[in-house]
Amino acid sequence: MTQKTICIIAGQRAGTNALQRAIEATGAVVNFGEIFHTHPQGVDGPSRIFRDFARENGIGIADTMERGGATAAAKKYMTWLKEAAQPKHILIDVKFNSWLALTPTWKFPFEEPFFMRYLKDHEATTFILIWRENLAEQVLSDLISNEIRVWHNIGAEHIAGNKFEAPIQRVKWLAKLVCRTEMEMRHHLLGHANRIVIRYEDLFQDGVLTDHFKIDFKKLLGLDFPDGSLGYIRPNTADKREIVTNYDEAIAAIEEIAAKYRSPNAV
Amino acid sequence: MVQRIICIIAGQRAGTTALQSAIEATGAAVNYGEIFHTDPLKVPKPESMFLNFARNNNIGIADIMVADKATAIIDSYLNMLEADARPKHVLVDVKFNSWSILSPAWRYHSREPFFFQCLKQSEAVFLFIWRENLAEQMLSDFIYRQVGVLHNLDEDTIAGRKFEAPIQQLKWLAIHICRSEAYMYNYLQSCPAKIIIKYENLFHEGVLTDRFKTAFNEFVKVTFPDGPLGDIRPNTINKRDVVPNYDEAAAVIAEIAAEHRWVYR
Repeated sequence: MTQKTICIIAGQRAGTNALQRAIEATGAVVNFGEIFHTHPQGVDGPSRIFRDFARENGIGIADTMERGGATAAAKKYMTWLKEAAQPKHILIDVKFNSWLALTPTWKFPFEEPFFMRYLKDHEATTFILIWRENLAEQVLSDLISNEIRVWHNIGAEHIAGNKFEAPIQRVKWLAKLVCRTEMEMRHHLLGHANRIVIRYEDLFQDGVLTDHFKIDFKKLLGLDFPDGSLGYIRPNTADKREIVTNYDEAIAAIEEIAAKYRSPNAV
Repeated sequence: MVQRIICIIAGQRAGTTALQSAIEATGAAVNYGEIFHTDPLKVPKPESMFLNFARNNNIGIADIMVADKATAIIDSYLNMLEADARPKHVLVDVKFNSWSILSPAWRYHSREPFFFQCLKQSEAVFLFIWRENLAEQMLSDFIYRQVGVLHNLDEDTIAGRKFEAPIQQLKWLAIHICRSEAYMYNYLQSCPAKIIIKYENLFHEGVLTDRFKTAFNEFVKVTFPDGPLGDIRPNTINKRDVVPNYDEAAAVIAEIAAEHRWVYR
């Protein structure tokens, strides 16, 4: 089997952990999670994050300022992952706000990220871009997680009577950044044959992956998913209205941003 | 005199080398040039370029990934420049396509550049230069890349050679320059100490304009010497003679500029 790379691209709170688990459950893939995370959680086994790799291999910022050096670092890192996953495919997750972690000099701010270009040119990579139509739920979910420091399976017990007011300006700022990055990433994936661009709302239904996604995934990677749920990741059951005192105001602010910065012509 | 960091922000071929020379000629600033350049031959003080600082201090890419550490590294670098230049001001030049280099993880690419944020906290003075004639700017860059001569281009340097401009590549580059201009301009709005000036208003017949000198003196009190800008002279070649498809290239670039300039989406 030729080893392939599967790269999930999304903002925070777009179902990527559940998707990682589901893909891992095919048995044909090793999941390395958010490789550019600085403090990863929920990934089994020894750390394979880029930061630890860079430390162990003494990769200096000066080494990656030149394009050739950055390419060599990316290649060495991906080889390390592939060796660890052998003979399985590798699964990585790069969040919208992590693509700059490996960037040489001479890169315009809105250019295709260096690491994405590397994955396209040097690895057999299938990209899965997830965006969430209900941006308000996504942004507020992120806000709540950061507030209570719990990221998955959030239930009433985690909330425990906590209430807080969403900072509207910050929420708008974050929503704008997510929208802008979505547009850029969609644009960068245009023309790349091995890609799935899917809404979060079309990815899962009642806690399981949709046939819509499974069919697209099989077409590109030839892998079947086992039946059943997504392992330990369940949809959060906490009611955001109970937690965010100005929920309606926050929702209205985010929807306004989404209407302005998300364009249906992007793909 | 309160020491300041003066940061030039521009695309390539926007008169920044001549401006560096002019500011340096006041005797009030030490010019470090393009601090993020990777070629030591292209900067006035190679020992002070960030690349060498990073090498000498064994700065790992893993260190930059954490915002607190990245801030400390940048502070340390700026402190080094300030100590070296003291009591003079520190003059640096960061091109549009160099701002992403020191980005920690968890940074959206459309956010304010991290290094820019640090400079703002250091109360730097920003000089933002854009060139209205984008076609001349870009074709100048194109010719430079063909002949490998950066300044004072003349007919002897060209030696009768002609270079066809790659239209698709120029379109791509024009979009990125325009978007970068708008992006940096947007984030400059919150800076009190800034000069935003067209290249065409920066120089007149090879010398700095009074308009720029007056604006500069509002933030940094210096006396600019009279006369031309040191060794840097305007290039004297006619680009139409060098680029056979000059008109086509200029038209394409003008079209991009009309669509993308100053539009920060």
